[in-house]
Amino acid sequence: MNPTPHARAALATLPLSFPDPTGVVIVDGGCDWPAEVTRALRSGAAGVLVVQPKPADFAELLELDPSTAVIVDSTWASNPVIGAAAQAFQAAAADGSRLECRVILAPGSDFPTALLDQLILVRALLSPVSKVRVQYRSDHGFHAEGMTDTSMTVDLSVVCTTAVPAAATVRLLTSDGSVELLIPTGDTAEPARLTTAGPDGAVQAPTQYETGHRASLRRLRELMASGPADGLADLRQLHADVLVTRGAQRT
Amino acid sequence: MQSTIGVGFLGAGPVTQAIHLPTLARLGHEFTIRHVSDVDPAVAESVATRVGATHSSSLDALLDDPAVEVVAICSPHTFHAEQVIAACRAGKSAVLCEKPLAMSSTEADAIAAVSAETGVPIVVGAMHVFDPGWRAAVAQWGELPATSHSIRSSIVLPPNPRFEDVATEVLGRQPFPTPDRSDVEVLAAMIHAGVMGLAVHDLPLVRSLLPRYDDLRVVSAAVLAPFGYRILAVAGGKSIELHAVMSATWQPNWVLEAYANDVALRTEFTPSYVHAGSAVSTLTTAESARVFGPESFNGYESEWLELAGIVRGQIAPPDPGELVDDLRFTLALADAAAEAVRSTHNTEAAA
Ligand SMILES: NC(=O)c1ccc[n+]([C@@H]2O[C@H](COP(=O)([O-])OP(=O)(O)OC[C@H]3O[C@@H](n4cnc5c(N)ncnc54)[C@H](O)[C@@H]3O)[C@@H](O)[C@H]2O)c1
Repeated sequence: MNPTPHARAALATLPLSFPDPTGVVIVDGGCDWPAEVTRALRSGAAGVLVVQPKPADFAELLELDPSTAVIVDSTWASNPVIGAAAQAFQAAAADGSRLECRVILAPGSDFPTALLDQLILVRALLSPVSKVRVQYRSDHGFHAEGMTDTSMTVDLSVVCTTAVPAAATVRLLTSDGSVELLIPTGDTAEPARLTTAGPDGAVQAPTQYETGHRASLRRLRELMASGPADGLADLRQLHADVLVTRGAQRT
Repeated sequence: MQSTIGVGFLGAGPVTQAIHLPTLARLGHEFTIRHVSDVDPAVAESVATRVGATHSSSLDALLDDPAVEVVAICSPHTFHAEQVIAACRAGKSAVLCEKPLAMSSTEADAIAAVSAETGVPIVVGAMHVFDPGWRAAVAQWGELPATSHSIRSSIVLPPNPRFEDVATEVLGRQPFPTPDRSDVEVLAAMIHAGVMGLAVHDLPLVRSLLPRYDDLRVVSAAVLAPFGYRILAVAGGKSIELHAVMSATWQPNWVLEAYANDVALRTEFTPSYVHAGSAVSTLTTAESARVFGPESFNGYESEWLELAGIVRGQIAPPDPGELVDDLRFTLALADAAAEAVRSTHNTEAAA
């Protein structure tokens, strides 16, 4: 399923932020997206949204003039819960031993893209993952183990089924509680659920009924408005995660 | 014959006190506790007195007691096999053995042989096997054992006393040891103990989803802090993830999941020790979800009721071959996980 039309529909829900939406180029991350982004930057786009990019080689793109804002609209990490979730995970990290990131996808999904999406998510929540080893893979999913820059072990897994909706679940167990996050796909406004449990009880963060695409577009708007020092910062981080994804496929 | 079935306990520690006595108190129409035996005579006497039973500190005294028809073995793991065998040879009506049934495949073979020879029914106290919320889903799961491809068991548990202390008032509890984690053999022993003591609860359930396990391969195994494990294994073409953590959390979470391309099963169990009703299972397809449970009783009650049915000749006993296979599967996992911990440690040490 191509998510790009959902992103385009989200643009229509920000009429005041983007009074002239024609300057915004929305690129489908499933195709040869680096070429399209390059074209958009060269033709003077006001801002670019790359929707769910698959791992591609785009080192040259990073050499271009960084004055245009480019935002990566990622399957899980673009959910508006991420800010609050990052705070919760980071607060618990010192006391947590291992991060579990489990994803449900439809059968036939592209595994390198699925792994990349998980790495982007863990980076957004906690810290970049610098090393990944695929432990097991079949037609139905995979299990991988990674290590964050902060030396936390991460279990990354994908299971393919149509029985339950696609979603990412991230859990960090601590010595006396847990932080748990469930993110549905960004194509609907179904909210993510963030629950923090500690000695005094469990707290569910307020739900936010906004699609990941809309949250990404708001981020694009902010970056455009601030006149970015480095409009390609998102892409640079993506590039690091793509390299780790590529490395993992070789293990 | 007595109108209720006479029960004798071998080992009267926390499990007997907090699990079985309260369960049998709910099933007084079926069972009467006649005899409590423990190597610690003070524990045997105290626990026996609570229920008006005879007490002793020897296996023979319990087996020689004609009032004991069913022997419940609740001693530490290492004594299970010899005690199961002795109870069968004593010609008792049935044996309930706490998990695990034994600690080696030699012991498993010996149990299978004695069971065949004496015909004494054996039930293993793996309560989730009997949980009505699980069994109802099994009855409706259709092709899931054939089509499932990914299985996961995750157990998050508060410290046992959190539940034991509301299930009863426990006498004579062993302190939890502090292991030396720098010693690889300690780590290997910890993961072995994690499988034999904790994962074991759900491994018969996992095995019921596998076409075979003779090709079992442990891909990775790690000991988790404060106490727990994470094991990734492959058998019969399916991935099996086993995860457990015991910490100071108040929030238990005991879940078994199995996924096929078009069906998912999720079973959430109630914690051990307490009587908090049955598990709740959900069988989901893209169109709908069916929920099984909660029932008002859990696997502890069901296992004893099944035992009563077996003793009264109303229910066929479990196939000992299946029980032995459950044990072999558990041992294979425990051994391979311990070996994986050793080899990871050695690889890291060499690097
Ligand atoms: N089904 C469950 O939910 C569940 C939960 C926890 C433990 N268990 C199992 O139950 C069994 C007992 O667990 P526990 O926590 O009570 O163990 P424990 O070691 O704390 O207590 C066992 C008792 O057996 C006595 N004992 C020791 N050696 C004996 C012998 N040779 N003969 C008779 N008695 C002997 C000890 O004095 C002690 O009182 C274990 O096998 C364990 O795996 C089951």
